[in-house]
Amino acid sequence: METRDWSLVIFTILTQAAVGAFVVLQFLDRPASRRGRAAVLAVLSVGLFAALFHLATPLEAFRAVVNFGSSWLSREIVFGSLFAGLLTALVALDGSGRARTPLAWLSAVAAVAFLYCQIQIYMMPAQPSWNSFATPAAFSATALRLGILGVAGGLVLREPSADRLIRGLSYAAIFVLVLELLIVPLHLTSLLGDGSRAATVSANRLIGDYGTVLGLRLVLLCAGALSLGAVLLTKNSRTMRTMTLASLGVVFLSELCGRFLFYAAQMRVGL
Amino acid sequence: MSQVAFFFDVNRCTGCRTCEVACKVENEVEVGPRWRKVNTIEGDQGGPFMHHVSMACNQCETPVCAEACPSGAITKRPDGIVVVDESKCIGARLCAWACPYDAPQFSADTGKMQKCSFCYHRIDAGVGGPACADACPTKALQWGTLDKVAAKDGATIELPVLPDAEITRPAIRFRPMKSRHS
Repeated sequence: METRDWSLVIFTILTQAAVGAFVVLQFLDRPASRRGRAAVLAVLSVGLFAALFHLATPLEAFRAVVNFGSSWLSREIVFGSLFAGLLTALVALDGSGRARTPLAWLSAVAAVAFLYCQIQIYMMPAQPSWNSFATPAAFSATALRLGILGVAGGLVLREPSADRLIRGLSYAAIFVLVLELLIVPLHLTSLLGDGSRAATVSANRLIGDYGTVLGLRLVLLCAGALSLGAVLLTKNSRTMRTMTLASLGVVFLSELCGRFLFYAAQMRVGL
Repeated sequence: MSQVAFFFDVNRCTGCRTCEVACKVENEVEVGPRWRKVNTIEGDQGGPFMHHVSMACNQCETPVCAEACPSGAITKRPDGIVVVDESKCIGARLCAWACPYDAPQFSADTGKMQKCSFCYHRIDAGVGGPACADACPTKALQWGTLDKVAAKDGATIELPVLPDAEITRPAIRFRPMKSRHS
């Protein structure tokens, strides 16, 4: 993996977290939290900024939208910018206190379109490790995991009376965490069964060269799930809140490992 | 205008890499990027074999590099040659990911992508074809319009070691290695 790809690791994780958190906030049907949306906007902005460093000439980034007609990267930037713009408007203008305003729904649509374009970029026939069910599954799961846990973390920090909601979010987060334990082996199986040299090299990188990172990723995911189990079992509010934040922390680290592997395992078909 | 194309006869290539040298010199390609590469293939299909394959940009009929490029820097000329406008390139390198043939090359000097241009400057000036094909001592590498190249004896779009041709419909045809074991 090239050093510049780290900017994409940061970009994809943070923007997917922002998409997930915004959508989760939208579906919770609670009074709109300007502070929560501002936090999502901050995460999204850092993510979008990180993407600039993937370009050899970041100052010419404005050109990245030119090929909207065929390039998924152009579409990604357009919808990402649209999401950021609408979210900024929501934070700045929408003081209604209601979550489900037309502007908020429009923002949610832009957010999902942004994620969809991000996925499509990697569906390249020349890259077997990307051109698989695992890319949409992994990107969507990252958005859900970090979105749910991000909102839960925000509630821990800002709302003293949200224990019940945090427990509900923990149930959902455990489900999405466990999902990853299915995606990883299925992806490996499909790569090993592909038969092409590129797919085999990718599989060998995942379980051989970077096997330690993959192991660490899975251990961290399990640690996150166990922390959430503690959230559900404990009656102590303080413990519950601490374990929620701990889960967010270890899951974020596991996402870093997972996204590193995504780029590091990439191998082109052919010679 | 007709799509131009390469023709590569596996049986004739000796792996001398004159094509690589001619490309480097003609296009003054900096140290690092290589617009044309000669690969040596070794395998076993009913008996061991070894041969060379000289590859550059295949000026594909469906150039996925151009589709992926966010800044519209890659376009296809009326004669089918796929060209990079470096003034529009922002170095996102999506083209390099998308291309199954490793044709787009990143220049650390300019921060832009570059690749084989089929020496269109030579064709446009009427002084010849791609320098690689013109320099090939064994005529393993040739060029012409796609319809004429495809009509050559034994011409095929697929070689076992290469990616599925349906990904990009490359404008190259091969004469595969004749079996020594039949």
